[in-house]
Amino acid sequence: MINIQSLKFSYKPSRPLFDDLNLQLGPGHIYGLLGKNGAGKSTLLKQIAGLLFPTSGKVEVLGQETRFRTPSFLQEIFLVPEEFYLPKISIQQFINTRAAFYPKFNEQEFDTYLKEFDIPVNQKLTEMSYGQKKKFLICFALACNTHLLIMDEPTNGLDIPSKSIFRKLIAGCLTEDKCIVISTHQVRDLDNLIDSIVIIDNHRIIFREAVETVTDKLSFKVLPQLDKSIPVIYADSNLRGHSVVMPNLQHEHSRIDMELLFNAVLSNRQSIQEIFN
Amino acid sequence: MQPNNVFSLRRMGLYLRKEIIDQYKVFLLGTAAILAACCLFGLIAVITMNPYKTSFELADILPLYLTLLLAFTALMASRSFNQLSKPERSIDFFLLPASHLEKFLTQLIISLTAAIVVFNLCVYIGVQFFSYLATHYKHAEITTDMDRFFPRPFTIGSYLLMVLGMNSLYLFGATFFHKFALPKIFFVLILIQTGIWVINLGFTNILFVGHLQSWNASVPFVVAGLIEPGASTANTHLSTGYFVPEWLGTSFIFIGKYLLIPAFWTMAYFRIADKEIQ
Repeated sequence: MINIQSLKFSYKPSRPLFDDLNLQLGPGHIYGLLGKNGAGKSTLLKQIAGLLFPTSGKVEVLGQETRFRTPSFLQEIFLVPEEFYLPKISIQQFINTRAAFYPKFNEQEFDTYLKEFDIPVNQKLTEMSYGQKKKFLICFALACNTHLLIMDEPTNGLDIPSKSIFRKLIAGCLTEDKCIVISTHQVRDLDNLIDSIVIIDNHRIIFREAVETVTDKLSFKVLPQLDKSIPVIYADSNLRGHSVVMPNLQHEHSRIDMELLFNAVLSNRQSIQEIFN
Repeated sequence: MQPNNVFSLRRMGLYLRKEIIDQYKVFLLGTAAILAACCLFGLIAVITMNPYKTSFELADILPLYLTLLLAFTALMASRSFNQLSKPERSIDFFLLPASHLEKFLTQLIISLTAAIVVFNLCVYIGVQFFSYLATHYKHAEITTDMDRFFPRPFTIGSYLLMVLGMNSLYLFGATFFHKFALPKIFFVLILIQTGIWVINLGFTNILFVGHLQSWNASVPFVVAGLIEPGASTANTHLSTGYFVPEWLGTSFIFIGKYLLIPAFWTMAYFRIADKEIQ
């Protein structure tokens, strides 16, 4: 689905951002793209969407180079950006003018998604709050049924019930031919949603594993006390005790804690690499 | 089925429809404002009309009409890509599944339609309003001398070429400047013209050293004023304006009329196709 080969890119010639970056993402998965501020997540998403062009190397989606932004590519991709634009028209006018560009747009699904998010169909886009607008755009993006759906901080601005509805809708719309890439800082919002994790740091992909593999090899626990005999990779102290990440030596099953994993990868990269290689 | 990735008339129609519906309030308000301005101008012209003047020649407003037409053309062309002034609007513009050519042609059609159809329609209504008031309340006679409207060698085609030329320049400029594009492009054009004039001055002063009537006696691409040494005396200088040869002049006019306009449009198209969102 997404094929990035030897990507080199820089905003300024003196400061290369990506240097020989390779990444392949396949259909049938929901990828979580995680990284600190300035790690290069948004730049990578823009490269995938064809909004930025590689200095060298290539970025392909469905076998098409994204930089050409051809209609055949654009009708198979939808990007929900963090900051987005909606014209001052009604929902119906929006659908009438834009849905025709997406051959697989499904109006029934769209109405269902709107109902799930409790957005009145006859409301004007200008009368909506930021969160409602975001939910509306997510509904439209899902109803377009594009092969690739990219979301940059999709849960920003959503209230707590909407976040769980968002997770439900995303999980429900995934099919074998679709690929969903979600970039976020709100890693807890992606719990139980994503099935693959991509961590980007300092403009390099430093971790890319399926959630299943992570829970096979790592164990996430809350311990009342830290003991030196326990091989902890990363620990985070809180009121309940110590949330830890450790090698899954006993092959126990634990629920992944995305935030802990992210911090563990960033703070103890070598140990993580040794476990996964 | 693989869609045509370069041009599809149906898709362009959809895109044009989308652009009009997205901005219909702006278009309606703009049209209403021009119409109101034209009618107001007609009303003021009637009120301030010389009471002893019994006839009014419409061709008298030609210079003002042409100036406003070209200014309006520049305004409409300069705002063709104002959606690129904000990243979120740029993303919406570039990721909508239509080709760059369709998006570019849509903006070209909108800017030209506004200048040629909407503006002229508003001016026509304004003139009719003025004529009605002038004939009914001031008992003036309104005449239209078409020969003065199109003084030779100008034809309606010449005015159209001026509009297209202005459109191509400002549309190309709009690919560089997205905010406050009109004054920025205007300023850059003044700078470029001044630059051409200065370069031309340099060349003519080097080429015709000691023979130029004065240091600035030349017009780029047209003429240089040279002193005739044989016919000059100590107190009087007889000079002749040396125009470029006819074949070169004709070539310049041909380039200006038929090549520069499509060239600017083509460059504008490629600049849009190569645009990235930072």
